[in-house]
Amino acid sequence: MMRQNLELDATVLKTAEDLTFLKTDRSIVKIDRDTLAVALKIEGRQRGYIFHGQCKLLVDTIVETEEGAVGKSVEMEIDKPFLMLGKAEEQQGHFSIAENRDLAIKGYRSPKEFTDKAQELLDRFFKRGMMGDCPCYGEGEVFAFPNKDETLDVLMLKGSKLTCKIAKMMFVSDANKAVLKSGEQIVVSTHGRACIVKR
Amino acid sequence: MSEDLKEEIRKLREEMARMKDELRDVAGKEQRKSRGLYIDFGSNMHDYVEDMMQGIAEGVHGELEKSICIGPGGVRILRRREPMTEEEQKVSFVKAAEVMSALGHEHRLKILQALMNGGEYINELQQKLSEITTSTLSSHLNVLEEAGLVVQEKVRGRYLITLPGRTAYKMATQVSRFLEKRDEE
Repeated sequence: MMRQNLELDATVLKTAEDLTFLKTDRSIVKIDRDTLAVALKIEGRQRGYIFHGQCKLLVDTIVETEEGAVGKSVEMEIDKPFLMLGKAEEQQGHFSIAENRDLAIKGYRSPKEFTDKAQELLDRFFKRGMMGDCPCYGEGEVFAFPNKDETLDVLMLKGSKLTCKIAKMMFVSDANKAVLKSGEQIVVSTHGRACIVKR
Repeated sequence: MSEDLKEEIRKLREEMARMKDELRDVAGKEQRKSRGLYIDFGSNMHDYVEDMMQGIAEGVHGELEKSICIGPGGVRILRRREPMTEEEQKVSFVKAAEVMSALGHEHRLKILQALMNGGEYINELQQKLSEITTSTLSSHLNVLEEAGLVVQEKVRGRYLITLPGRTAYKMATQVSRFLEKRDEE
């Protein structure tokens, strides 16, 4: 695997307003104002951020079949550091410099403490500097959230294709197709026709 | 005529009669052979066939008794399944009661019926079910969602009937039709 040059900015920022990073017919990701942020550069180019604040994630991991809908809506409030790749340049005008007071509210005694936490998250996602292809280059967004099992839940969007992995559930959808894999079954739907396979 | 000659003639006649019988048998076999396969079952064939048919009839009758279901929808033949394991036989009576309770309201059944053809937004459901007030409609939808009969897309906002919801609705309506038909008779 090729080593990528990952670099976290030393300056800790905060969002000046509520921001909605993602809004599609199946998913929403938004954060409140005063969310802490640190910029991430890959190969010298700004590619994303690590955030820590009140983040809300909504994903409709539901497949419609002729026999009824299968799946559920996932609604999560995330108050741990999470990663966003993509749309980095669009967000640049929405930040101001975070003060010690802002850091203290989130439980950090210094900017370094926050950037160290951010680095830990990066290491988990990018596996200590060894990174394969990342779909965020050029287009698309990737979000990685820590969950209660200490693994990462991932949400990726590229064009109309949504891919989501939350705990043991996986969901992929495109314009006319959807696949849902949960602990008990796999549901595949294409143009309204579906097949349910019980595991 | 002498006695010896009479005896000789009698024996010859008996011989001729026997030969005629044999000839008749041979002629019959030859005729049957010319039509195709000839199988000599002997005298027990009839009993054999009767026993075989009796056995088949008993087997079919037994299977029909186990497999035929006569219900409000007509006659159905059920496919034989492997017996359920102990794990599969466990029923959550609490969950079953919750589902039955969710079905136990005319308005909620009408909501399920309205969702049978696809997802609807709450304002669309309100238009279809104008006899139900908005707050009551929301309340019923919450009950149905808790019971797993309906799911709401939190992003888009539509309500969809779930797979168990569809099954539960069909069960409730089939049982009610069966009872209505029985009461008419």
